[in-house]
Amino acid sequence: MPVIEINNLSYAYNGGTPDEKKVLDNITLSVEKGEFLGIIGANGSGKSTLIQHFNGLLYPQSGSISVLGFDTRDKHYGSQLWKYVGMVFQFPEQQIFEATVYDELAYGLSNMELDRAEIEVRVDEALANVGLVPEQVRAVSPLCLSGGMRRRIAIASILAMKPDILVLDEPMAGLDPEGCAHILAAIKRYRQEQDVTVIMVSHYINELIVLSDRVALLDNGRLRAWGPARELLARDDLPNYDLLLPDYLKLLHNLKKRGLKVKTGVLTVEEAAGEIGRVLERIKC
Amino acid sequence: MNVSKEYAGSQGGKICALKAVNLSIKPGEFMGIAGKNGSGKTTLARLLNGLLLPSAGSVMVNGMDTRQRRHIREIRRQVAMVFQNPDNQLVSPVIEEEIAFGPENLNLPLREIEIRVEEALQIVGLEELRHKSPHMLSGGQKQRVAIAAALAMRPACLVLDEPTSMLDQTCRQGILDYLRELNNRQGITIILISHNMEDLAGAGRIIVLQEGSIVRDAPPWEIFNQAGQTLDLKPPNIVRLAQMLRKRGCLLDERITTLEQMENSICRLLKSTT
Amino acid sequence: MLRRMKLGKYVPGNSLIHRLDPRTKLLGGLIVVTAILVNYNWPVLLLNAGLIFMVIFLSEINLPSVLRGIKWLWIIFIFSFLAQCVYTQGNPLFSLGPLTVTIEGVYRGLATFLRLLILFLSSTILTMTTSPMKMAGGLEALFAPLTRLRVPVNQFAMLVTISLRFIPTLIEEAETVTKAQKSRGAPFASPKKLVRLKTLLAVLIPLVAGSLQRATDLAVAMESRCYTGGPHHSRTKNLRFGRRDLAALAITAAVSILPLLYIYCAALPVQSLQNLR
Repeated sequence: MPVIEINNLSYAYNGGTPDEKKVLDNITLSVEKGEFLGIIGANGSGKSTLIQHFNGLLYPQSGSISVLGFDTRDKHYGSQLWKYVGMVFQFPEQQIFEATVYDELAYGLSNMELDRAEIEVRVDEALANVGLVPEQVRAVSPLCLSGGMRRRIAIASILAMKPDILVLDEPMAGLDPEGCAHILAAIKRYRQEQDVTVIMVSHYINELIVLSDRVALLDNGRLRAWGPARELLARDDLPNYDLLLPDYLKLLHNLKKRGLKVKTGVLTVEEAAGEIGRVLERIKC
Repeated sequence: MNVSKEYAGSQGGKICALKAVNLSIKPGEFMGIAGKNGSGKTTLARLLNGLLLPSAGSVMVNGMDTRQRRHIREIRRQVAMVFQNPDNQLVSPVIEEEIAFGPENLNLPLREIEIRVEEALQIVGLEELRHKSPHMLSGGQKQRVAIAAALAMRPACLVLDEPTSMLDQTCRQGILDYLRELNNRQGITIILISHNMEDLAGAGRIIVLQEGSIVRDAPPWEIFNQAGQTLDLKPPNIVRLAQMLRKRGCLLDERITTLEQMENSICRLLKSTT
Repeated sequence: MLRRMKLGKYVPGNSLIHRLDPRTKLLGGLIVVTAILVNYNWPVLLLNAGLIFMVIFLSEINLPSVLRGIKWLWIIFIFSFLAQCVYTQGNPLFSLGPLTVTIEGVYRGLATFLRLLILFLSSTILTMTTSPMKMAGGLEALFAPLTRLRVPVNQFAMLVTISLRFIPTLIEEAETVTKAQKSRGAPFASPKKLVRLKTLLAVLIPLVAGSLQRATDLAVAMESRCYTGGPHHSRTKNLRFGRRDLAALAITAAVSILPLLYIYCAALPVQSLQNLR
């Protein structure tokens, strides 16, 4: 049962004026309940614009999008979408404004009009979810914490709202490897425990392809490919898109172009090693 | 121009950020600095141009001590810095004026400033954008402006503190290519700080910082091959791939650190068996 | 290409007026504004109005769009005209119930209207033909002598520059933070004022916090490029005061100041004649 259905969605900025700029062109896509959808594409391909349609921040100019069964343009429903679709923007730590970590996480929850007891439980849960110890950080001012921890707190503030659909826009941007690992672990943990639908936009393709059930490739506002990660990676035209493919994938594509019979639909370094090793062994090196 | 820095310094306060660091950098080197967040990388960078002064020991740039105020201007001219956040280092609403900022502060004559701005714009390939405002540029373009602004001072050395970490990663390679070109063609010493090992694969030498001390100082291939086990750093994917293939018995050079090298090695292996 | 003319916004161009030194335009505008504020006799007003319209014509900017763009200012103009008509004492023209419109009132009203129009048009023309950077450079050059009195002119100029640089960035950041807070259910449209205020804080505080970090980073970056607070040579020395500028200033002075001189000088013999009676 799809939780998001997009049909022929198009969107342009400054529609109707001479400055009109088409950002999304005729996108048709659907997301199943509990699925992990990865979205990849070069800068300017329309990824951020697309995901803003999922929680009603933007409405399509033509075509339609229905989230959890309702058209987002439904006036009554559209304004409530934020309760069911949690959106984590890029560099989310830039939105922190409350004096303590507790208040920051409680902000969304109090806007949902939950009672105090429930808020307390959810805040602690969410903090534990992102790998922080609630007692240690609850009363601390977020500004005193490191960048990586502030990022985790910002994400926790969305997780605390227990959305049915979690949307993340480049959650690992600007973090060092340790920070990335924390965020990835938090996302994996959350997904396992809550069985939610997750949509993630990321440039870190090697991590995204391992987590995703399906991957959508956007290019210049168009949906160029959409399917299981392995199928997408096996496409020969993949290097033509301005993507930051992991080196081992690029290597496989380059070797394939040179005539070596390697499969390019691999997800990890280990699989790539296995693939190259298999081919080299056949030729006996 | 002879650039050599040597110092034995440690920076403190309540927290000791660097402990008894001894380092010497030769002119024309491409040096990488690796280490986790909090290992002292940024502190080290800021000691190099006198933004921070050592609590003990000294930092010498081409024979000038950073603690002597009369040398500071020349030191900062010779050691130019580019920072992590592309937006937070550009002060001017017009790109041309941004690049002129450094030479202006050096009180150079107007004509000289114009020449340097022109030069810097050409090196980074942004001539068409000279009249634009920074907010109209992408992150990668902003960093190129920052690099041009640093180059306009005709430094001997360029220090870059995580220049690509906040960028859309597809711009990363472009910036790294510029740096390599600057180092090869113009002989500018490059000191690149990054937590991404793949950025440092092209360096001549990498130093690894851990809790304020240098724990390793070696060429990239040595560092990468030891990275996983002893240094708590993630080696580039290509190196991991090479290690795995070697375990399966493939004869691959230990020094492989980049995609091209790997590709060429594999093709050579294939040719040698056909 | 259709461009919607906005109030006070810089319109790039290569007209005579665009190419004038910003100091000329600043001083010229100041002279005109001073003249009409000091005296509002008809010769003064009409001559200055004529000068402004001439400048607009020479700057090749579309006058009707400028005038069209200030709809709400027309309300102020008309209101002040009507107020003057009714509240000025003098010979009545006609009456509408309790309100009496006087001849003097009409004259005064027209004069006020014209003064406001000249004020508005001269400042608009200044900002439309001078880029913000040139303006800042011109101001810095004009105020430069004050540095001898320890007024931090150059630092203020740097402040202006940095502000101009970051206003678009801050606007973008404000939009992003607003979207993020909306995504957490921030009640921007709440009926309660206090709630709306708190929601505004949810956008302002992150922006301020970000700006403080930005200020620290910028200071470090500027120090690294040897900034010490000195003058901006490339901006101020690039300004060349040419013959065109001298001519423009001379004409402006003639048009604005001479009628004033005439009125005051001519008034003296008139007064003394009266005294003789």
